[in-house]
Amino acid sequence: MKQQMSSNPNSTDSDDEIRARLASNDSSALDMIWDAYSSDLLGYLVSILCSRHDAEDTLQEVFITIAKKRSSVAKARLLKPYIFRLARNSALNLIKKNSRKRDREHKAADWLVISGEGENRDERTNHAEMALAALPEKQRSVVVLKFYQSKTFRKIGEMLGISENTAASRYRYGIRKLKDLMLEEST
Amino acid sequence: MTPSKKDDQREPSDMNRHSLAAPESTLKSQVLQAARQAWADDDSLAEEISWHRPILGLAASITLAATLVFAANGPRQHSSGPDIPSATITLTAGSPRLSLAAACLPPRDAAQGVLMRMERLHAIIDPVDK
Repeated sequence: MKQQMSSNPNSTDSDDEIRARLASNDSSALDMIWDAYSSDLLGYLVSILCSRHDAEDTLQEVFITIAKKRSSVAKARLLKPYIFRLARNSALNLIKKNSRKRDREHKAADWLVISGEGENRDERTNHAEMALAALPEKQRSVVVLKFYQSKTFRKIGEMLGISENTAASRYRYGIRKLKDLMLEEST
Repeated sequence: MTPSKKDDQREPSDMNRHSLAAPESTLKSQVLQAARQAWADDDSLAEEISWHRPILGLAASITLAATLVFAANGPRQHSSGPDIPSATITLTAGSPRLSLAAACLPPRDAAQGVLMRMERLHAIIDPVDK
C-alpha cells in the first residue's frame, strides 16, 4: 500500500504521512492537512464563493467531512485533488443551498485585501472584486490561484485535477475576460 | 509562447493592488476543534455500531425469514389448487357420484374457476338427480 502511494509521482511524502495517520485513526492528520493545504484551500474557496465569510465556513465544513470520511480520504489515490474536490463540492452545495449563484455578483464584497500600506479599499477594489466575480467559476479559480496564491500552472493542475495546459488556457481566457470587464466598469 | 498569448496573460494593473488574506490563527483553532469533535463523535458512533450491527443484523434476518415463510404459506392457505379441497371432501364424503363429479372439476385458482366449478357441479349433479 505504502509502495503504491509512494510510486505515484504526484504524491508527496507528507501526503503519504497524512494518509497513513488517517488510516491509523490518528487525528493529528488534521493538523498536517491544515499546514499543507489550508491556505490554498481558503484561496480556492474564496475564488468559488466570492465571500471570505462563506469560504471560512466552508473550510470548516471540509475539515469536518475529512474527519468523518477519514477512511475514504486515506484510500484516495491522489490526496490533493481529492481534498480540493471535496472543497469544491462543499462550496457548490452552499451556493445551491443559499441560492446565491444568481446574485453573487451583487453580493461579492470584501474578499480582496489591499496589499500596499496606507491604502484603503476604494472603488477600484470593488471593481476588481465585481469583475472577478463575473468570471466563470473555473476560470476565476485558476486566476485567483495563479495570481493571488502565486501557484504555477502545474501546481494548479495538480490541485484541481486538470492538466497544466487546461489550467493555462483557463487562465488566459480568464485574464482576457477580466480585462474587458474592468475596462467596461471603468468607462 | 506567442506574443499574443503573453499579452493575454498580462494581468490588469488594478489586480496588483490586491491580495488574499491568509487564514488567521483563530480560524485554525476553530476549524480544527470542530473537525476533532466530528472525529470523536464518529469514533463513539463507530463503537456503538460495532455492537448494534450484529443485533440489528440478526433482527433483520429473523424479520426477513418470517416474511418469506409467511409469503410462501399465505397463498396456499387462501386459495385452492387443482387438488380436491377439504370443503369438497366434506361435501362429497360418502357419495361416490359427487366424489366423481368433484374429481372432474376445473382448478379453483380464480373467481372464473369457482364459477365454472359451480356450473359444472350443477351440470353433473342435476341430470343424475332428475
